[in-house]
Amino acid sequence: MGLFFEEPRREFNVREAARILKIAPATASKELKKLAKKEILLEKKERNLILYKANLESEHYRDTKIFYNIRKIKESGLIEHLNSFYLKPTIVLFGSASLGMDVENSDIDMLVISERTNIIKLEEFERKINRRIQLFVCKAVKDLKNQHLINSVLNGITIQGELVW
Amino acid sequence: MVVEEHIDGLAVKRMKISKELARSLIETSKSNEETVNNLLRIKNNPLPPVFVLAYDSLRMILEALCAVKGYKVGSHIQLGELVKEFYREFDYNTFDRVRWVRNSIQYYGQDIDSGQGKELISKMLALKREMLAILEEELKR
Repeated sequence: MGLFFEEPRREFNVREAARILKIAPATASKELKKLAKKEILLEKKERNLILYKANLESEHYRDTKIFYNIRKIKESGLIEHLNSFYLKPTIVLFGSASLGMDVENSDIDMLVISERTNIIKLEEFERKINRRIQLFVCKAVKDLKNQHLINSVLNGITIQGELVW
Repeated sequence: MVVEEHIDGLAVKRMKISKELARSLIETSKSNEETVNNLLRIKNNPLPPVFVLAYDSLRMILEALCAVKGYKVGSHIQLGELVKEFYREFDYNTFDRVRWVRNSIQYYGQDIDSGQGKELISKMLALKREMLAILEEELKR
């Protein structure tokens, strides 16, 4: 699934997927068919090829993608880095990544709630996650000026700590 | 006699309800807070040790709250969990955060930004005062 999570808009044929995943084409074909049957992937025939791509409309796909995004963020070491600078702040993932709707060029939107409000450099983690990280830092959610931003944050996923109004 | 008991998965020790122990912990906690306030007045004083002292001041009040219920808890995580079980108003999240910071200072030499450290100490002492008020009510009963 990682293939389709990393590049949700790209179409893969069976041979391509098998080569990237380093598995036999027959195995890839079987597994991709299973995922298409569950409607996690979309399947279409083009000339002699069967192409598969992520089905962003599928709830199953989005739920799994959210889990994948959170694991990827945690495994990158980003949380430890934020903890060390902001002293274990509340961290909220919001925007498309928290909805499992993010695509190749989407930003990862994160809010840090801490007494310290300087923005730190995150290039190392952007490379690891392979996405641009848009970091917002404030002392309280109320301090955010934009109502749309506040709504997005309140509908996001609290990765660490507690989100209080 | 100390008996081990489990409350919602927490291994805690049951002991005799001790208001005397609670009062003694309040005194030590107050003295710690006074020291914290004196140290904060000194310019350029390193903040990590002051932070640890302020944390201890809060921890003692939480231990006193457990003592009046007849419990003794060894681990700080379990202390927070147990107080949360008994007192719904307890801000567990703040306690868990300052516990993490205190451990980072104590065991890993974490430094803290002066402004942030002072704000955190002030939040910690506010939580302490809030819990002390509850404890004093308990002691009147």
